[in-house]
Amino acid sequence: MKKILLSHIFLLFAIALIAQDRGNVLIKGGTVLTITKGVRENTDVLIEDGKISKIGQDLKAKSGIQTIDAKGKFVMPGIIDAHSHIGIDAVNEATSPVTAEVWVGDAIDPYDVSLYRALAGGVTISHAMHGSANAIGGQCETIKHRYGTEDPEILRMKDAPRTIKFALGENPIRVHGEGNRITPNTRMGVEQVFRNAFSEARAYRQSWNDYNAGKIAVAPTYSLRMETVADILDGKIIIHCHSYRADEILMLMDVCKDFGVSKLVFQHVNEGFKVAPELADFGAGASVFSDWWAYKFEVYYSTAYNAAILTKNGVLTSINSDSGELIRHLYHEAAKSQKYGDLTDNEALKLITINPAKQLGIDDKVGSIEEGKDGDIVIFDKHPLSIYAIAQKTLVDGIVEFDIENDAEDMRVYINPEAEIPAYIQEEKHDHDRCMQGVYESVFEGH
Amino acid sequence: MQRISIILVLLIIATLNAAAQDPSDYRLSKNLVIKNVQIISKAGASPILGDIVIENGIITEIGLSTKAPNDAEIIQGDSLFAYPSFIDAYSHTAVPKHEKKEDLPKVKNPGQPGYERAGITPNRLVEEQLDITDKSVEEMRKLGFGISHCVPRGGMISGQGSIILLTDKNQSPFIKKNISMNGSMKSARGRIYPSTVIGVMAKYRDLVTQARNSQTHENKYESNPVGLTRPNYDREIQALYPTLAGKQKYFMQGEEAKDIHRIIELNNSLKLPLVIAELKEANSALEKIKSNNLTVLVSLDLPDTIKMEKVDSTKAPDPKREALIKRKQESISNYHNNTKAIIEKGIPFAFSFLNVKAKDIPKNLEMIRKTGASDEAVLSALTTDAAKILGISNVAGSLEKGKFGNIILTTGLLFEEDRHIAYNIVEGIAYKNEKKTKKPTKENSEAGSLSGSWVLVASLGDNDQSGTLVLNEIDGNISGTITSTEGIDSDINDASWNGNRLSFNFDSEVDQTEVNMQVDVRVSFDSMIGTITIGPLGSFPLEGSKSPSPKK
Repeated sequence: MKKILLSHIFLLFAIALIAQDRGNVLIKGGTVLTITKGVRENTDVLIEDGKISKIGQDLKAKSGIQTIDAKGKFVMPGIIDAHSHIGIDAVNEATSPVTAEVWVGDAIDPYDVSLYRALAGGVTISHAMHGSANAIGGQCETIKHRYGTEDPEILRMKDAPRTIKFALGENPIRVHGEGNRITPNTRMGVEQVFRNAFSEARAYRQSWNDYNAGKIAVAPTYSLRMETVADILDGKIIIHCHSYRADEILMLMDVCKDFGVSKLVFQHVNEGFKVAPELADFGAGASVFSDWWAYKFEVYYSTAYNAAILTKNGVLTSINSDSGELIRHLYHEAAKSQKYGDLTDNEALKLITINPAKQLGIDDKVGSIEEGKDGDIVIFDKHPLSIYAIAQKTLVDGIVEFDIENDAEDMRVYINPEAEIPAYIQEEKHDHDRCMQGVYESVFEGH
Repeated sequence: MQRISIILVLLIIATLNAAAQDPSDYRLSKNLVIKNVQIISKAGASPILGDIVIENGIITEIGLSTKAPNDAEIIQGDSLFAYPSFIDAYSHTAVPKHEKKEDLPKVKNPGQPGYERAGITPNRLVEEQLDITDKSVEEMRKLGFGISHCVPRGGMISGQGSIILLTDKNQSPFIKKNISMNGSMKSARGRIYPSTVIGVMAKYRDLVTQARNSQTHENKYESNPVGLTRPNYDREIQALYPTLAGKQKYFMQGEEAKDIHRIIELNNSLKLPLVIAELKEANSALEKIKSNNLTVLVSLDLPDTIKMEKVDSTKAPDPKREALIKRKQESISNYHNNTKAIIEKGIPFAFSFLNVKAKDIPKNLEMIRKTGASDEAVLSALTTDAAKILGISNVAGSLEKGKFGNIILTTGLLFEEDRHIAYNIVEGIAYKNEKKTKKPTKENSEAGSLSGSWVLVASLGDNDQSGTLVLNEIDGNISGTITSTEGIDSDINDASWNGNRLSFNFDSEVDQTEVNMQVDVRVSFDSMIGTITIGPLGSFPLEGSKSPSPKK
């Protein structure tokens, strides 16, 4: 009875959460893939107070600063996923064709163990998106994978610009047209939803301007939805649009031109290769899968050369996961663009670093290894485009969030005290793309 | 003579009534005197012997040699203790569940379901749902509660709560009506807007801003309507005005740390007079709660400890499973320690009873005390602190002249084991609780012989620890020794035994640190099952079996 080890006491009290601050670390002697400033052999990277303060040879750190030996290893900027749904409790507010007012940043789920799995694949930032059930879905949130906290606020990348999810094609048509017999019931209807919402928001903003200027006596009825759409028109929010077919991609660019909207990134964009010059002309980004398609009718006409074709045509292109599994090996996904399309190493790595950073409007802070940027780093044992590469350590703001040598079996942050003890730590089931999370179950499977 | 016969008639009528009705029904007035009782006037006070006089439901006198009205009912308080009755700061007491769920008609446009279907009913008053004869009232009263803050059932904004007395002898049980606005993060039922937490959060922002603007509009219109569009006068929107003005607190349910963080963040923009209700585990949010000067209502719905599995010594231990069990045990401890953590942080709190089953309340309060929350803090949360949060400190929460005659009379100190609440007096009406006398069962008689040698096994998550307990019972006095597998002995202290429950404690060394261990078990035949509480680590399951005694 007496042999109760003190380690018990420590374990029970060690649950007290460690504040997520900024780290200091010196990464020594690695091959540094800066992305924006070439490859630098045998180079040190010093991170102070969470920011990269110096890149060079034989850097000296202040005493007490942790040193990581990266000799023979590859040091690259933390991978950025421009399209995912991990770390959030709600994906689709699938009850209206326009739900611009909702914001997945309200439902950040710091308990989601997928965040840790993403870190194990070198991903330090993901763009947690609303789903594609609505033509104008909700606002998205760019999150930093500061895993281990219970406080959703800590995951928020506070200085990232606002983004919003739009969706074309089958999903909004099925949910609202076929599901509830309301617009949109066709692809034409989807276009009309955008045009109506933009027109209404323009009128809404005008009436508030009139009220504020004293031209009308009573304030218009406040609508967070219209406020948000008006903010899109004012260029305050970047549109990220779920899309597959070339005709619809052209359609949305036309709509945006008509309303003076220029911040536009297409997601999935499987037929992007057909309209690559047009995308480049508009200045729209494209965030694609490397080789995933044919999961529904509108996604049959696809090619694994998509990323390469878009890149060669000057379209700002990234490769995303849209999946808690794919996110673990985005570097493999990027490597496929070399097999299909012969991109250079740096072009391929840009697809998962600086390019998604630009699409999210955070390229001044992350996406490359440069002095002054955030200390978001992943260290691989082999070149990250090698099929044999395995992430060794992943740092966010200079703090080691994943370390292959210290990778505990059970990394859950929170355990439901009333749940059954599982036989093993259960994986989530992913039967379909996560864009329709929470909608398939209720709408299409009759639950 | 005539006078005497009138009294006789009255007496007969009274007797007849008494025979026909509940004993407490025949009383003609709400006057009551409790004589010669140990009075603990409020949490932390020492007992003082005296009388308490209640007239018309209000305490009029406390002390020695009081003067009671002639018609006062008298309770002899000898050997009893008087405490203020408890206050339930947040519950659905007297608000029965709707039995039948009618199939609601399909909403034409799920994006615009209207306020009611969306779960937004701030104009709903709890009295519309109130049934004072609901069994929850009696259940709570039996446990010592005299006042409830009952809130409506419903969705995202369920409506306005009232404070009631838990007595069914009055036409109206209300102390204060519509003191609170009540809400949650609940989404609308049946795939209509808002169907998710993100929809709910957006809807809150939308509604609150609309309400603020609409109030401005109404004020403007009232002062001079000429040339102005008339206001909408939505009753749902209008019902929010007192909350926006800070006159009606907003009680928002939030159970886990994640929810609490979200609610606090949301309220940074809404700026409602927030109280977080039904909070269950908030370790990581305590600092935020404190820095935002929030009040919380701690749920008494606690998770159960892990049930002990039989240790199968033939099977090889499964370290992976044991690690999972251990993490679950840690999580449960966090929930159990929640109240203590809140006390230590100095956050104002009371308890809420939204989800807890009445029968679990005493057990869970005991669990909270075992984590080290002080008796005074727990009692304050049940009385004075609850009164303060509800704004009724001037009339309830302690035994003082001028306050409600809400008193419980117990047969022992409040947190003493086996004490019984003999009476719960609500607004001067005494409800007697009959003590359930347990029939001597076979269990009791058989278990009579505690003496002997017992093998104990404690489940400490990742490993089991066993030991031997030798007990000696002579005329109810118990002594004993506990021996670890390493052969170290400790004597047991403070042993108590009531025929089927045994408790004692002992001191043991853990890595050169002395730790006190408290054992609490039920004994039946030759097995015991219960818990061992190890210093600050919390409770763990404990099981024991009696070694066969040597043949005579």
